[in-house]
Amino acid sequence: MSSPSEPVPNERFFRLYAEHEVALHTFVRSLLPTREDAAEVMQEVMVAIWRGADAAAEFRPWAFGVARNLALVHLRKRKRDRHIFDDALVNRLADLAVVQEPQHVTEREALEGCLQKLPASQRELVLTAYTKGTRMDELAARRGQTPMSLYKLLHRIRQALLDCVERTLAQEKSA
Amino acid sequence: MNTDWHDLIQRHMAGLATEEEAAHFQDSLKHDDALARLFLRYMNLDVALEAQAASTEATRALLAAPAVRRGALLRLPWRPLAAAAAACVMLAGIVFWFRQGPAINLAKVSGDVRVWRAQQTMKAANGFVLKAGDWLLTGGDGAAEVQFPGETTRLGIGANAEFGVVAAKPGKELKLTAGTLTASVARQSASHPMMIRTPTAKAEVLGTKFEMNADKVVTTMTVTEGRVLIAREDDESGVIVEAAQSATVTANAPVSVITPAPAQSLGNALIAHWKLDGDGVDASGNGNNLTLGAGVVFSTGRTGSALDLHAAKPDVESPRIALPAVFTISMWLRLEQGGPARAQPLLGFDGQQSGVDDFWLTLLPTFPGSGVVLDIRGRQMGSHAMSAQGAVRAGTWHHVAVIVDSVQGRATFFTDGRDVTLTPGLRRDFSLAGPLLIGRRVKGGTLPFAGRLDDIRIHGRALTAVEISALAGGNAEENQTR
Repeated sequence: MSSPSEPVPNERFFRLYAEHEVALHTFVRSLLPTREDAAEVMQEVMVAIWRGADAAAEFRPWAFGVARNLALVHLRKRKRDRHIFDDALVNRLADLAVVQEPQHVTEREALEGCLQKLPASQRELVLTAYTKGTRMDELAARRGQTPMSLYKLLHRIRQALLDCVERTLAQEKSA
Repeated sequence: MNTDWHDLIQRHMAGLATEEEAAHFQDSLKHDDALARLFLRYMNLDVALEAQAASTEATRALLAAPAVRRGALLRLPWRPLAAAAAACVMLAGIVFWFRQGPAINLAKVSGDVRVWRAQQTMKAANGFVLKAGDWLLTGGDGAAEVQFPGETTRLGIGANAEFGVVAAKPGKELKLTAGTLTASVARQSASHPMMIRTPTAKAEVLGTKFEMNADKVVTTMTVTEGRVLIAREDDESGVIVEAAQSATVTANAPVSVITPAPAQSLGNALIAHWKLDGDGVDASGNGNNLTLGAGVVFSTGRTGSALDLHAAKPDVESPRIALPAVFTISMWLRLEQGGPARAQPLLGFDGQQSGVDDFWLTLLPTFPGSGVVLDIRGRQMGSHAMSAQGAVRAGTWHHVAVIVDSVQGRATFFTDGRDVTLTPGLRRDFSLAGPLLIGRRVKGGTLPFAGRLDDIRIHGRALTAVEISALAGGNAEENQTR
């Protein structure tokens, strides 16, 4: 008999997965060339973790290992793409991503405030650009821009967001 | 930090880097720690913006579409980012669904079955097409099956039920506010699981079989295959309910999960149980007592006594039994040492009698041990599913079980509690009703099983691995030479 104070083993997995999902997604995204690739691999990661979590003694390193392997499998299928990293680089980034994760958590928290500080038109643009299914060429045409000028504008917004996040965290440290 | 790195990272993210730039970028990432950290920060930003956009888009779509029932996925805190993304995709999917037309059909409609749509109630019949926003209402004698085209998912709706379709695609979002739902759910996309909500609970289903009952106060769920994540309607975390477990969800108490002892759950859907302790009485209480031919012999069994077809060869036959589409046969057997090296029939329908395609469960002799095979034979070409060979040895008691799924066309074999399936595929069009012959293929035949059979059970469902292990005595080491 199980009771809420005596959770079944898979409930433990589920809580851990929920806790680490964003970190895993960032990790996978860093290893893959596009958001679509990352989304695809994350589906595989979730299923693999669901199936195997019971056997994992330490969830986090195991889950990141699973994600790394599935990303590598995915990359090998697309190895001719010039944006694909080789295995050595993937492994280096994977190690670094795990170390950087606490920093990434605080940056994600700060991002929300930074988004609000953006001019409304820029905020709307960046969120539209990141909405699933948005095509950059169509978005550019709707705005009367060339795709390249849209990319450059998005580059500037992203860089501004990173700068804002950095400033915010620095202020919090000094406060 | 070289400011050009910002540009190159973003060109890489957009897939715009030239071959030369990509090679340079990769090489630099390997050797420049600061660059690698900056790259990871951009990736982190990318994921966070994607999640933020999904959440914003979902909110925007909800506000713009008041007619759509507001999906609780938005409030689902189990996986915040995925939930936001799923809500966005779900809402886009609902729009797509409306454009594409209906996708859910009713079948096996009997008794009082109505559909409430757009403030009106209409009578439903087989083939009725349910749309998002519809409610299926059954009366005291009503029942229906909900089918989803393109997959084998089936939801049986019982009497006095209120079943609502919130969305059909990309993830099925359903409601059960009263009555019983019996579900056989084919594998769903991990990103779009089936969601079922009741007044007190929410359940997330990826592919499983279960029964759910709901009213305003309590929801109960019993899982027979796979697993279901269930939570209180207003709760942030769920509990996974495994096969053979039952969960109870009320508004004011934590989810309660009960794992029945196998001895208790093994009574569920038991069609026949022949202990063979000196007679052919059916211990299931269903009256499927065996007819024993003259001269039948019972000798020492795995427990008590066993039917000994090596010592004597009378026909042993059950009354006509109608099996459901999914069933499990289990038994203890002991092949005599030095017995004939031929196929050893265990149990099956007699194809010669009924003249339709039937099944036989047989031991196939190989050395040093035998495997189990389920044959479909009769008017048409046969097909058979097989276990690994060598799992059953002569002179030793073994527990053998086979789960047959005639819908999926699969058989799963267990010997001594271990899954030993080698080739599971089966033809699906074979007879599921008739008298079962025990230890023989053909009535009056001269080649029965050359050994003893004990404790034969037929369940009208797929037993779980835990249940089969319990039937097998919990371990393979316990095999005894008796």
